[in-house]
Amino acid sequence: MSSQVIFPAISLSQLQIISKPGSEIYSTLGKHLEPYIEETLKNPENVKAVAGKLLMDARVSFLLFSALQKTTYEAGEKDLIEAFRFLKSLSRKFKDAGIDVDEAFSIFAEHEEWKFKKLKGEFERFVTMALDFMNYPEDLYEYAVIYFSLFLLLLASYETEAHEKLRSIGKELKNLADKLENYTLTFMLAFEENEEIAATARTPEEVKRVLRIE
Amino acid sequence: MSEKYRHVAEFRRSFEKDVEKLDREMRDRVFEKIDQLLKGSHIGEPLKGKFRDYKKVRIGKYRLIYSDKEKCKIVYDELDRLLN
Repeated sequence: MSSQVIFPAISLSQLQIISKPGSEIYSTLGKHLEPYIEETLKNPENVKAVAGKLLMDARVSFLLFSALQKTTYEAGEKDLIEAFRFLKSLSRKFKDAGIDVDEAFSIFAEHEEWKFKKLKGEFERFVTMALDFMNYPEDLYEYAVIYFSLFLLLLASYETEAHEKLRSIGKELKNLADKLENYTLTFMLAFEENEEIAATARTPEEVKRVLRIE
Repeated sequence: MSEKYRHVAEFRRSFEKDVEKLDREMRDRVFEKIDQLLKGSHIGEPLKGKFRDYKKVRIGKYRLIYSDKEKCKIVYDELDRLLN
């Protein structure tokens, strides 16, 4: 199953563009996502299984790929800011329900910003990095499941006002964001792996010197 | 002169740059973690793919990335800026 998964290159800022009124791709995607969002809302703890099913849905994959094609060159800084505004408004909703998801959202935002900048500024290197990452199908599958689980949880939280449900969604968001961070750092490192060594240390004094501790 | 560590630490260029952003309290906290690592502790969560030999250690809002085989780096967590 995992070998069928492709690297989820789409970002929230790109979905922000196609979510504008009149976008046919988005309304079609919305219709296809609806059953997955409903299932997530019913049982947020089960979101990874729902995301797993979504990944195997050829129509959703095609629509996400189409959205990616449409928006890669179109997306700009303002769409990223808009995506962060969306997260911020959701964050207030969670706070009203008695759960703080700021750190989880920050981790997600960091991932989105990194991906957005690479898609816009270093597209070919991004593709090479993603292809290389596909050599690790288990990690790729886990990343895709975590990423789309977060998407589904965000969309589900947008759909509900029930505090108990939001608390349960928030708990899952926090848990999955922690895991997403390991992938963000992995991708960041892939872009820096040939960096030179600037200093070495063999004693505590030498480490302090590197850290500029007098 | 204090005792030599069992391991030699190698720091990447970006680590040096990142250090400049840290205040004194944070530098002390980073030192404590590096000291712990160089004395042989294996702490942190592993990264993924071909970087599974690397581990992430959280120090407040920073992440120290290290490997027994590779070089050290700090990733500044700009999370507050992103959402504010």
